[in-house]
Amino acid sequence: MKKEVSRRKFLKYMGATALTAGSLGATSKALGQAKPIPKDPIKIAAVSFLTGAAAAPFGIPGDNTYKMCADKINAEGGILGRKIDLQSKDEAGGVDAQVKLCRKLILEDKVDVVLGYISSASCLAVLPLADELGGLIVAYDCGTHELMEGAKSPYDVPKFKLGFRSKAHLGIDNIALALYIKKNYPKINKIAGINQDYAWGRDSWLIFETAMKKLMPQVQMVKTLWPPLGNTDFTAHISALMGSEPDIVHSSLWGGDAVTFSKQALGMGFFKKIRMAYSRGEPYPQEVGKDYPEGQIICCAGTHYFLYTPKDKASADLQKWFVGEYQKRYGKYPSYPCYHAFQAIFAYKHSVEKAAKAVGGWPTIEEIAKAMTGITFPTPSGMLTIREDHNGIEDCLVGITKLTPKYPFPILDKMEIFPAAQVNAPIGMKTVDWINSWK
Amino acid sequence: MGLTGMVKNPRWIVYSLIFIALLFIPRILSIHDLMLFEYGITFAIVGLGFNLLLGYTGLLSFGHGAYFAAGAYTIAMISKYFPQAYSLEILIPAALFFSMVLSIIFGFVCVRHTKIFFSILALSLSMLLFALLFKLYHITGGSDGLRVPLPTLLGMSFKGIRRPEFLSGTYYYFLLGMFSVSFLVMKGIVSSPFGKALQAIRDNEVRAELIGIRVRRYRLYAFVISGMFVGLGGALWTFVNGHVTADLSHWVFSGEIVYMTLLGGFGIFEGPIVGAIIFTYLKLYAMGNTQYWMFVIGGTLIVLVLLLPNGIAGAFAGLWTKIKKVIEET
Repeated sequence: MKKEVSRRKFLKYMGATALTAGSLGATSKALGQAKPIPKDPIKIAAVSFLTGAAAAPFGIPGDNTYKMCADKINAEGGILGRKIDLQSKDEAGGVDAQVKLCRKLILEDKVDVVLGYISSASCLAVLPLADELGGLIVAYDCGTHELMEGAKSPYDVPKFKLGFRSKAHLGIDNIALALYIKKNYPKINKIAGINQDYAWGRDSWLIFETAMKKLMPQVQMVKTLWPPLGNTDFTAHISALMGSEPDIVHSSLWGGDAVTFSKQALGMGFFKKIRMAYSRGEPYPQEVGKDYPEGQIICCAGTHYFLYTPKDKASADLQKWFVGEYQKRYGKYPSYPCYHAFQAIFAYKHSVEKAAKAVGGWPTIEEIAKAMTGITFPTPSGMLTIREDHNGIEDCLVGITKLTPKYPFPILDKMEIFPAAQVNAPIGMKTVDWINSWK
Repeated sequence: MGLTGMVKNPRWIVYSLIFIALLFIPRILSIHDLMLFEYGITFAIVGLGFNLLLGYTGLLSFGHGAYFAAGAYTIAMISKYFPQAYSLEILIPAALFFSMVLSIIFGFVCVRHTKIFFSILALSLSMLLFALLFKLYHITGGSDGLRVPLPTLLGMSFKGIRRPEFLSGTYYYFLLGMFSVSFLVMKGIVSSPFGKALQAIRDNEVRAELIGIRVRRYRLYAFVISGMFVGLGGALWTFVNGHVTADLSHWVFSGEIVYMTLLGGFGIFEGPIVGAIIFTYLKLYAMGNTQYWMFVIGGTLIVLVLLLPNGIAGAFAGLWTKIKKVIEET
């Protein structure tokens, strides 16, 4: 009895859910009518860290970019003539707060799409809500490779019907670093790691170590250190690393930790003998300035670099506008989270337009999700594809820091691009299993 | 108080009316508000447990997130490692058991001290659990946490049912049942001789000891009961939220438990319940409407401490006594 009541209630209150929306879509298609395009603005919620440690390096640049892109889309006439009403929300407050907030955004505020989430924990908790609530969610910056992967390879895709990630996962950074090291430093034999002691650091090291062992089996892992997140004194770690005399040290440090580590290591003469390989080091030369050591290997979490020119014309033009406009607005060059934000909001725009062409009118959430599956579109860092597993795949750029007279901070030299197929696991295969299957 | 006493007491009439109203809440609230209200109910159970220590025994714990996490992780771990036992009638007793074990161990250390020393000890022990949950990431999921599927109940399976549907149906009534039982049990505890002994300890430890109360042992009992209630709240919360992370054992989360108890008023039995429900709405709507939501939460706390030291429920109770006085005088 109770169950029955609840079911009725459920359907009653979830007017916009998959079931109802889907059946509405089906009827109008069957009648061959064009669906009218609503006049009201599209509500887009953008969730990023606006407070806390991840705000300055990721959240604020990401949020700035959402605003910049929404302005561009609105200036060009919106999406199918509908303007974007962008609402910035804070990702701080804990995972339970994010679950509640996302439910509110979809059920109460009835936003058209939720773009967001920098923390892997937020993504893991929130993305299942897409199917539960019948709302479209596009994760834009979180790195965990577990998000879209199943428990065992091969696994079924997609994991979430209405949940997407418009970027590649942390696998590409660490695989690209390993490939770069193999190509450019084939003679090294000692590697160490310093990664933050939580899922992000552990996962990054796991992928890097697995790839390294496969690519250069002769290399010894001489030291793996796990400083806590938000560490302020790295001197003991730096001495320990120097003592183990590695040739290259892998690190996924981010934000204040990455900057503090660099500054303290510089003072201790660390960089005279040892080279760092940062999986997400792209924002920090600009943050630290001239003091940032030269000769460090840096990965850009994709090809997200302001000096990179994509091969195709559409992307190259976007890159020119993106870098120029961002610098004009915010006085900085865009860092990788900015590119990720662009990818998320434009993934939505292109998918709506693609779906609208197919159905003739404003598409339902399911139709947008269908269009987003397998879509390819230009972005400032090149063509981006979102695969059938609802995860983006990207090429990956690695380079080495070098000071030039033109910029007040070291820029990347000896840049190399690893194509998407070389750094992303095939659909339905777990990244670690894929690396282990390399010949 | 016998049954007739209960009937005569207007308090119990109000309780019964509220209970009947609660039965009909799924028909009134939207699905979103109902899910939010369920967060409120789970925290109300937490608040009841927490207040046994703060309001009745006079011990302020900044580490009750640990017992909440114990309850929540019991569920998550069973779903990960013993999926065949993933049924509410096993999960809830298991959560109670593990939060009891944890609060016996932690409580044994904590109750040797009072005041700030007790608070700091409770905080550090909960951070110890946090460190474990955070570090043993292959087992616990670390900062990424663990996803929690829907459980079964007495052989009823909820496969193919989406979480909002589950939460607005069977689970709401289950939750309401658990809350009512917790409410009655806690009410019984605080009005029993044991509860009076705790209040005697709170008011004057030395005097309590002189009249023959074994102070430290009673404090431990209170601590364990409190931990179990919080663990139960944590376990029930897990299904509402769907995901657990190590943050639950962090002192910031424990701070939220303290906050909601202060918001409602720790001097009154119903205070923490009021506080838990209001806090749930306050935090979400502050987050949903402004980027400066932490300012709103902090500002509210300052206003609360300065203007309503007895919390919202306390203020209403105060008002009620004043009104009664005025009526009696005239």
